[in-house]
Amino acid sequence: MSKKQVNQIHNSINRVVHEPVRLAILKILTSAKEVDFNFLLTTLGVTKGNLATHINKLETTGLIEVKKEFRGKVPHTSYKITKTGRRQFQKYWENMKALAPE
Amino acid sequence: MSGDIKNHEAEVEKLNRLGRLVDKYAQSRALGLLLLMVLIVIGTVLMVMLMELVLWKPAWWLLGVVMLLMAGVCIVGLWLIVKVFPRYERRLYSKEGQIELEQKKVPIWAFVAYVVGFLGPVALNAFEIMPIRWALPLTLVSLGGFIFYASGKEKNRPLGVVFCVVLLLEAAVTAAGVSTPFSGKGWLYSCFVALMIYIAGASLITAVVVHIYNRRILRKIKEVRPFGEQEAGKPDT
Repeated sequence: MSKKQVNQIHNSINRVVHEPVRLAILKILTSAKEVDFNFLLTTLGVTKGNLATHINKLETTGLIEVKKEFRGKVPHTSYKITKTGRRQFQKYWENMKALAPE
Repeated sequence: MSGDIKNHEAEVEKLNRLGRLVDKYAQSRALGLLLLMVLIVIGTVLMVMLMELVLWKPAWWLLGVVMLLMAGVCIVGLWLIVKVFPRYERRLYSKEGQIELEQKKVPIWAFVAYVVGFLGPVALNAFEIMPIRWALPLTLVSLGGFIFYASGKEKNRPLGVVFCVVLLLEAAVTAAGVSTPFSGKGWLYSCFVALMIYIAGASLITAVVVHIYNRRILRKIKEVRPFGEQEAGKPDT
């Protein structure tokens, strides 16, 4: 692969996706229909504040969808990957494969 | 960024492993089922004991009581499965959080094949056409096969695999000629009662095994999670 091509791929990498915690959130969401906040906390082992920051970033960039509801009297927040999110995640994965040394 | 990408390979592998573990963990939640199965096993044992009592001292009023209790067990079981179980199942895992997986519908032909395969041998045995040695294994294989197939569609694979294996073992043991419990004392003691005991036992074993497996997977997730405990408010990259 030429240096120009490598640079092109570098530039096309989505910086929002290219972050370990956000990447892991997207990975979990791609294999599920819906996931709630506690589940992400349990599986990722990050703090509540940190997770909320990453989720907020993913939501504002339109990669995930947030659903807030009440279950009885308890508020419940769940997350779903959007079509854009799925596409961006797929594209990111393809770029990383292309850049991986043979 | 190029150095970043080289380091990324190990990270990607970890991430793929995390994805696989999360999928296994989400598919093996059986705590609700475990509680339900304990109730069903108790109900089955009670029912069989009462049937024993009816045969020992036949009386119409006793038969009536048994029938009422059987109806009660069926109604409570249905109520638990349809109303209580879906409502409170979420609460059992509220601390660990909820995940919903994409499920597919089980096709009607599979239901039809299952009903024919399940009830056919039971009926043939009740009419003394087929001996219990063959009727029971056929029914168990039919149920095991259906649960295995449906568990793939409903995203509950570990449950389907364990249940199917236990049922196949039971079927093999019966077909090999090992004497079947509670059989051969009238129509109630044809294939039906033995089948209920086998299914209740297999379900309880499955729920326990899958629950233990689920805990193991959760422990592995905690070991593999690539980010460790992070400080609150740590700046975002």
